[in-house]
Amino acid sequence: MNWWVRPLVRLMAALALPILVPAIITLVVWTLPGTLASTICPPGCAREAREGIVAEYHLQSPYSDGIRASVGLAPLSAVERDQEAEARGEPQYVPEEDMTTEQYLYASGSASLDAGYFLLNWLANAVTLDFGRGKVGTYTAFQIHELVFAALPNTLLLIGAALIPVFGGMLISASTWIPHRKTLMTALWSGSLGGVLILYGLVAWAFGQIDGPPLVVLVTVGVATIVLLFAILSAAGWLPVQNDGLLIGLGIIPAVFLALFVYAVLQIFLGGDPLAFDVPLGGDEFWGLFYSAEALANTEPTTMWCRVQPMALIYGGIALGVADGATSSAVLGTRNLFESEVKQRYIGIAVLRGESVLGNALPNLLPAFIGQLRGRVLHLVSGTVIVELVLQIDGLGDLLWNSTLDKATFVILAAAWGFSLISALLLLLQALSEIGVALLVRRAPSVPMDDAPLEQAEAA
Amino acid sequence: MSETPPSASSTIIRRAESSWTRGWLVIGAALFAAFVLTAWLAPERLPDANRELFWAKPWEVFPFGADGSGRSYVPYVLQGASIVMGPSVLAGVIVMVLSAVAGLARCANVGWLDTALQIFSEIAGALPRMVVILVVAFIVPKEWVSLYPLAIAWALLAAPGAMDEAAAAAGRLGGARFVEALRAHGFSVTRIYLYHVTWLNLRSVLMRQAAEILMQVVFLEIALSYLADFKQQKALTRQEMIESWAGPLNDGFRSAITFGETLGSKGISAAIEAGITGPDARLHALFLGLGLVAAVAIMAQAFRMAARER
Repeated sequence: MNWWVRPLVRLMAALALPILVPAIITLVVWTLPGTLASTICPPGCAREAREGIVAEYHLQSPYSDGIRASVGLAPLSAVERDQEAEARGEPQYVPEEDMTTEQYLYASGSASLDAGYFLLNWLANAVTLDFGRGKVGTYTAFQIHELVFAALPNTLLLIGAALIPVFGGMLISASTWIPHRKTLMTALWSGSLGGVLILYGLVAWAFGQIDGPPLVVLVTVGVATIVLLFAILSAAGWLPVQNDGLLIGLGIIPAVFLALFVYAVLQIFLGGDPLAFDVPLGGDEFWGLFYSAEALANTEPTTMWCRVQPMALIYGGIALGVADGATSSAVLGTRNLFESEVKQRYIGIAVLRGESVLGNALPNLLPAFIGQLRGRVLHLVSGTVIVELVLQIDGLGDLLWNSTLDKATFVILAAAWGFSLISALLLLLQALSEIGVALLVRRAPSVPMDDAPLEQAEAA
Repeated sequence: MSETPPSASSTIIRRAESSWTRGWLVIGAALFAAFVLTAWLAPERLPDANRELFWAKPWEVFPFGADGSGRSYVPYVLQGASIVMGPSVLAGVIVMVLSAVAGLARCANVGWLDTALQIFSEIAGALPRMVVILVVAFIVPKEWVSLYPLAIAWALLAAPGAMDEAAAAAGRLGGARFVEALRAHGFSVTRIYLYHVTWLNLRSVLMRQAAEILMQVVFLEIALSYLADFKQQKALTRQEMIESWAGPLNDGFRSAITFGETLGSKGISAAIEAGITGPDARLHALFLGLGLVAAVAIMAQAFRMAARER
């Protein structure tokens, strides 16, 4: 297989995913019994309202009513018998089970047309981030883009926190082949510790009026102790192999249990998340974490709120990073890749020439690393649903769960599209980096012909 | 030319490995049989409530104690097994079949099939599993709510990793050259693909992946049911009348928090009273739930170890 086939397939998949995901959902929704309009506005609800929904969400193509009328079927917005409309000359409403074969075929054809029309319009609006209103259940009155944008920072913070142990694990595994390992590891873990401190500092700064700083210091010291212990273990070279059993055992624990453990710890020791705060939807405060208390006081009481829980986010993120084998597979996967690569003959020759192992092995390993990393990030994205639900974090996963239970089609479409964009972005990054690495590896060395050893030997 | 006889130490190691493998296989098979039997014995409905046995302990209602309505936890265990066993085995079989196809395609050197499988892997592997599961749960009509569609979706999404591994194992074997060499020995195509490639060489990968997916589907059901119970919402994996293994976990979890809070404020004896022996104590439910989860994990691990590469 040519080297460019895999990256090309990935590129195509990345481009297809954001269209494929809503297309499949639309297709399935349209094949289910009943119509979307009748689900949102069931029989008994005013027909004008249903017509409004059909027009607002482009649930019906302009040709659909004409097609239906040609076989004596009432317009799509009629979902029950309407004698007034019949008196005006409109065809009679026919339930699906009473349709003739011809009527059924025409109705199915018109429904397919409607599904395509809806999908095209939905995608065109989605590109401008206009998803309309929720229309069903809890989210009836809310603009979907506000729900998504309020949830997105929470989910991204959660994934960011989960990546700390995953990246740490990968670097620890790779550290055996890195020169000056101990210095590097100390710097790395000091940096991680600094990152955590800064994160806590930002939270304390944003919500200085909450009686939180002593608690923050206490928790930070706890985290710092664990991180430092981990750093010392890894720098001393004790972590790589001897702790595999422990690491694998820890990785078997499902995300739901670790999330519950975090929930219990937060409840027992802190009475929940004392730094938690609410952000109103639809305000200017796009990134909820930096929302100011002044704006909070000026918000209308009827607004829907999004809860931000800094401690739940950080500890939930770390639980997510450790659960379901995320960190253990990062450690073992990285080490296995390195171990098999350094056995290659070219590495031995490179070492004899006085070159480094890492410099030679890394370009060949990068595509595999990038692939592994994509898988791990996806795994974390998937796990956010569970952690968000258990820790009651208002994120994209929580939104998707609630809209699934509410059968809120438009919210599900938006949330699933958001997730498909994340997946597509990861695929795109993997494909582009694979192409870059392949071009780098295949670049012919530019050796001046005069200096070529063979030429010199022949000349001699 | 005579073959070198195996050394005594290598023979001992091989025998020890073989007995370990058999031991793991027995453990895995015994647990699997127990779960299948449990699922088969599951009652359609829970027994009537008995308020006198409210949160009865295991020594009062043998062997697992009772819930907040005084019902024994035994029907919970039976019904929970009936929810997960069929779908999880089906998911394991799907992954096994797809992995075998990927491995065989690599050996048969069928270029178009290999590329088609890769395209499937790229698209299926690029989707966050839990998101797809929720979308599938959304699509399934209320009256058809079951773990089966979710398990099938999970298996299809998990298959790319297993297929990659099987294809890599077949590649290490020599791929098409291995098949050619065996054909030169006069073996039939069926024997080569089913016995030499699949049974002798891909077996460990297939078994390991199937066991992994089986465990994941059980954990998925517990997670989804737990979340629904935790948030007091409708279940996505079962009808309302049927109880999952998540039930005892959810019952016991609140008690664990009470136990921890009491331990910090009033000491160990008060904590034992609050969590284990008191009238409202329900840690026994938590232990039951965790025990069931551990049994599934041990079963999957036993199959993995039994199918370890030689």
